[in-house]
Amino acid sequence: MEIPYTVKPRPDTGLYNGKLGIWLFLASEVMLFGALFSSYVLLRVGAEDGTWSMGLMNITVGAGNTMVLIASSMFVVLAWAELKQGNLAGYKKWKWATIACAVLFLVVKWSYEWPQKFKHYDVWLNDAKLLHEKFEKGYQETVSHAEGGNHANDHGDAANGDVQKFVETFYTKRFFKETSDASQTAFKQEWANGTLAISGHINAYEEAQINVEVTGWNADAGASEADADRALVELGVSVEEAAEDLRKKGGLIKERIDYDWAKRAEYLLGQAGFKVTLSVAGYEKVEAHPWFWRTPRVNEDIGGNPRVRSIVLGLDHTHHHDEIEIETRHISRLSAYEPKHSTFFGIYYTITGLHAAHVFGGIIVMLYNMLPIGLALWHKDRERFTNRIETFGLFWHFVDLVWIFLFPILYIL
Amino acid sequence: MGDSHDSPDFLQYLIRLFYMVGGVLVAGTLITVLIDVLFTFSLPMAALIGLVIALVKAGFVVAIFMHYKWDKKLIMITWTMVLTFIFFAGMMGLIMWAEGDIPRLGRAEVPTFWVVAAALLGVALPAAFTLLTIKLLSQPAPVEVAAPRAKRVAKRKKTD
Amino acid sequence: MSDKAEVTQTQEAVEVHHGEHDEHHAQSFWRTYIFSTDHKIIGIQYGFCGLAFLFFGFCLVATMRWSMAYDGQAVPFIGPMLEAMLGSNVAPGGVMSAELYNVFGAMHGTIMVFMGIVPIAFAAFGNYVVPLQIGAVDMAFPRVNMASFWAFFLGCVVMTVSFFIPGGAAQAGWTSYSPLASMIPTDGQTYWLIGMVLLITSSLLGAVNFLVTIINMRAPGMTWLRLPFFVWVQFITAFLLLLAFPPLEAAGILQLMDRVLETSFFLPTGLVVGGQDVDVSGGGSPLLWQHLFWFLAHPEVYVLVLPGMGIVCEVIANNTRKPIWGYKFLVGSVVVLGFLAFIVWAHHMYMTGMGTVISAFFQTTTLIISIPSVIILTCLFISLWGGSIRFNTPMLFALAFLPMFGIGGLTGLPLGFNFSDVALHDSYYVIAHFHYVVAPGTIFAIFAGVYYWFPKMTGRRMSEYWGKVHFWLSLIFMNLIFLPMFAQGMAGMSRRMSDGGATYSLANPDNADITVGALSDTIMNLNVSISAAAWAMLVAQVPFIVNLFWSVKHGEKVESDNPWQATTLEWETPTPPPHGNFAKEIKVYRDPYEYSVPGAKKDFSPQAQPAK
Repeated sequence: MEIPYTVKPRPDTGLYNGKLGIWLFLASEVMLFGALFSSYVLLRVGAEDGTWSMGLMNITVGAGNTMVLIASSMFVVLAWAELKQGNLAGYKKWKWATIACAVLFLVVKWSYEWPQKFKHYDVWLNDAKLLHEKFEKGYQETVSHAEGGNHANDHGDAANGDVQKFVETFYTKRFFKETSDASQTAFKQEWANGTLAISGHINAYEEAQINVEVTGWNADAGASEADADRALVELGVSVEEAAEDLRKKGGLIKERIDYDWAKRAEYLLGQAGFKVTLSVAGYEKVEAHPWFWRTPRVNEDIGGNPRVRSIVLGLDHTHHHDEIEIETRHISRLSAYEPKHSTFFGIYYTITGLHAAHVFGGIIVMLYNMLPIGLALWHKDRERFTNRIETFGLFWHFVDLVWIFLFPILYIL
Repeated sequence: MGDSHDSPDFLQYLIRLFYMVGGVLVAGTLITVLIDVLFTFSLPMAALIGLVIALVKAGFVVAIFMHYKWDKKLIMITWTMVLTFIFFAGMMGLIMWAEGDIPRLGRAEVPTFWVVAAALLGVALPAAFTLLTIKLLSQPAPVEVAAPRAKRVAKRKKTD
Repeated sequence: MSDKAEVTQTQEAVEVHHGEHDEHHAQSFWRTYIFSTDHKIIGIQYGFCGLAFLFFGFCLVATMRWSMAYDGQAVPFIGPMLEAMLGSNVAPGGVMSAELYNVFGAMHGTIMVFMGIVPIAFAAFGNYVVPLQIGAVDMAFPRVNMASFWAFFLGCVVMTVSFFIPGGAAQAGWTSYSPLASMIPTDGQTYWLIGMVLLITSSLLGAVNFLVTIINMRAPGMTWLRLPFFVWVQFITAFLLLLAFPPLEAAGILQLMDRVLETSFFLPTGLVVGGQDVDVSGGGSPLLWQHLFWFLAHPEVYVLVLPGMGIVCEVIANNTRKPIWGYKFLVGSVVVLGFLAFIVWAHHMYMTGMGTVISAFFQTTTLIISIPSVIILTCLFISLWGGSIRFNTPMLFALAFLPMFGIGGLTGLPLGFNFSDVALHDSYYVIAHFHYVVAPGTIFAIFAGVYYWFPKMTGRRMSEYWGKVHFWLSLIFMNLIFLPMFAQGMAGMSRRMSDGGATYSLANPDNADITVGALSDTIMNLNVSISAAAWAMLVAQVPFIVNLFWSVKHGEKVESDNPWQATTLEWETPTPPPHGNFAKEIKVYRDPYEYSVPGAKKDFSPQAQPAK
């Protein structure tokens, strides 16, 4: 039984089913992205001065991605035109081009744009004076480089002799894009209160090395003595006798191990009925660029000492991303440029993420229509296949349309 | 699709148009970036310029890439698009309005005019829409004339 | 586009039937009954799932009513079961804790709306009947239809599983307001959000399918103004779903981000939970969630009600043996209703501190939207005048729908006005109002539809006797449940109180010196009678359930394909309709309700019968 008007359009409406269906689906997508755009506008209008970081977006990358998507939009419709002329080879050529553009778009976004942000941090200190000192150090480095070359104006008012002015320049660029009364008021207040964030990459940090000690065993905890001893043996205690000894008298199980290991040991020993104490034996410097760190990660208390004692931050807006060291006891908040960071990043990732998911879905469908499994329809019913590609093209153009609006709104405004 | 678009000439014309629109889109993007780099505007002004350019680009995509220029006669598509935009605009507009229209101490009493205007809008919009819909959907029957419209004349008791 | 003389609709229809001879090898059990693309099977799948969840949702509230009537006492029979399945911290000793009450309350709402009424009224009846009534062979996209059902099923699985995870299912109400919903530490709310995304996807796919089918697959001669009213309401309902659901999907994604990735879309700055500052960025707006949620949820209530009106219209036309009065009014009203449904949502938010202008706008649109509903109801009432009414079971339910929906609608008026809503917001008055429209409203319409279309689906009738027993018991108990709630609401009893209001009652010694506002003993005692009526209502569904299953195999066989002597096209098919639906080519010559045409041989003239 064949469904009518799948290929031939119905005379009074002039549409075949798929075309009408996709336009209706696009209507629902307009409402979906429309709701997110409305949320964007509301959140932005309601945001306090100095919390909306739109100046952090890389316009070049954004514009590049826009061009890629525009090209893909053109290619997909050229592929359809080839099919209308009965040219399967031409269709394949343009379709591969579309897929390549779509993949490029996602690669740029997911392996460059987003990861760059996940490794980039804002650090808020709990002491205004300390904050000014840290900025001063970065400023001094920049000035010395600026005086040594032609880079005087590369980093704002570096040559002007005023660290506050220097910081204000890039604060304004980040949150306001241009100096105004609002930007000056907001900055002055944050500078005075010390609530300004220092931004940069974490280049190294000092992480705790932890000792795991058992201080007692609770027989009523539900585990038998044999279970408890076995737990200790599994964690590296050499012989059963030593395990029994530890169970009765308590003692050091593990020395200077890393956090994850220590936490796991704590959990397993806890399950086995032990009372476990973790303490910090010392700190080890790790050179790494971590992703997605949050405040609890640096502030977590282990027996009175922090899990991370200090971080080395490569500062933004300084000439060589000069490094400063910050002790975590001075950090009130630490956040990568992840969704949690602020409502700006939240809505940015949500809306571009949903858009990227649509691009990804489109790639899957395009691949299906390129492989023998999808091409089988071309050999069975050319017109129907052409219609299918037209229908997909409409979806793809919508995806491009969303990006046409996203780019100016997120990157430019 | 079996319509007048099958002629090879028309397809060649379309293909040229596609390249042209591609160029227009690239140009529009470059203009947007250049304006941002070269000038500074207030946020409302920048938003207006940016969105106008985006709308122009969107217009080309819809009209040419999505074939709407030739599909305008297809009432269902037009009607769906119009309806969707009305509701999208309504959703965004009414949410913004609700957020903005919050009573504050010291705010002057809202003149009655606005209240009445708001209420009238709520009447006029649906009325206009309904009339339009009924007009769009009235189509003549392509099959034979129906029997006389049944009017209840005789009371006939029918047992089930 | 207009010069397409070569393909007429007649030719197209003929081509359809030639195509039928191709494939048709017997398909396996799985492809025929489980992973079917046939709209009738899918309709029945939705129907059974929906009815099962409707019953489950009812059981949830029946348990809640125990807590309201006898707070602190162990629930009989169910209590030990709850303790065994869900643990002693939510059901200690078989007593419903407040958390469990909230869980049941939130899930009762969610299940009834999204897993009960919408699947039955829209998806089940729509899928089964609409293609038949327009003379189509199936839905426009059969595989999308199947995908839609399985997305729905997955959503139901996620929602059901959520009851059994640590911490239980969602407990922030079916409205899931932030910041509460974003901050609850257990995972129930996250499951709810994921379930909702799946259910919304299912509805969106279904909506696209319905719209394309109704627009593009009507049989030759079936013009818009010859469509049965049932198809019109499904058309508008599908549009409501298509355009209103996505903002909730967006909001659901945002709330999921709030919960899982700790964003602050709906969390304001400076939020303090349990005496501690919350470690989020702040800057969000709880009102944003409310706007996005109610932007869907208001059209959603029309989604709940409109199919019911459509079913009632079909049944009334058929059982009065005369055409529906004011068909054009009905169509115009439902179109206006569809449009207005999108611009009234903030009447659920009068208490959020809105200004006078925007409030005036919403009050006006809310009151205007009552007009088309009244017109529809009036047309249906007038249709009864001068009819030769057959009081069979579907007709009884359809007739009861009219006053019950009327009560529901009229009691909505004080809620539509800002000034009176101040007193009634979030009280039992609201519960009574919306239950009247949905419970003795749509659910009665659903029952009417089941009894009415059962013979077409199975070739047998359901027992009339037990149908009438079901009807009278349901009608009486429905009113015993919901009518007193108006009084409770006006006396000030709030919603969502697990102790049934005991904290605020005069009987509570803490309230001894309160003179105004405490709940009187009469009001509190109503809790007991309401609960008793609810349990009796539950028992009253047993005849229906038994009747439904028993009649499939043992019901009285129908004597023809059109046992109700109806005019609409679904009765032209063999019984039950085969794959492809119609045995012969269908062309439409008449309006949908041509009963008692002067000069006709019989008292009904089917739509497919040529004009002489």
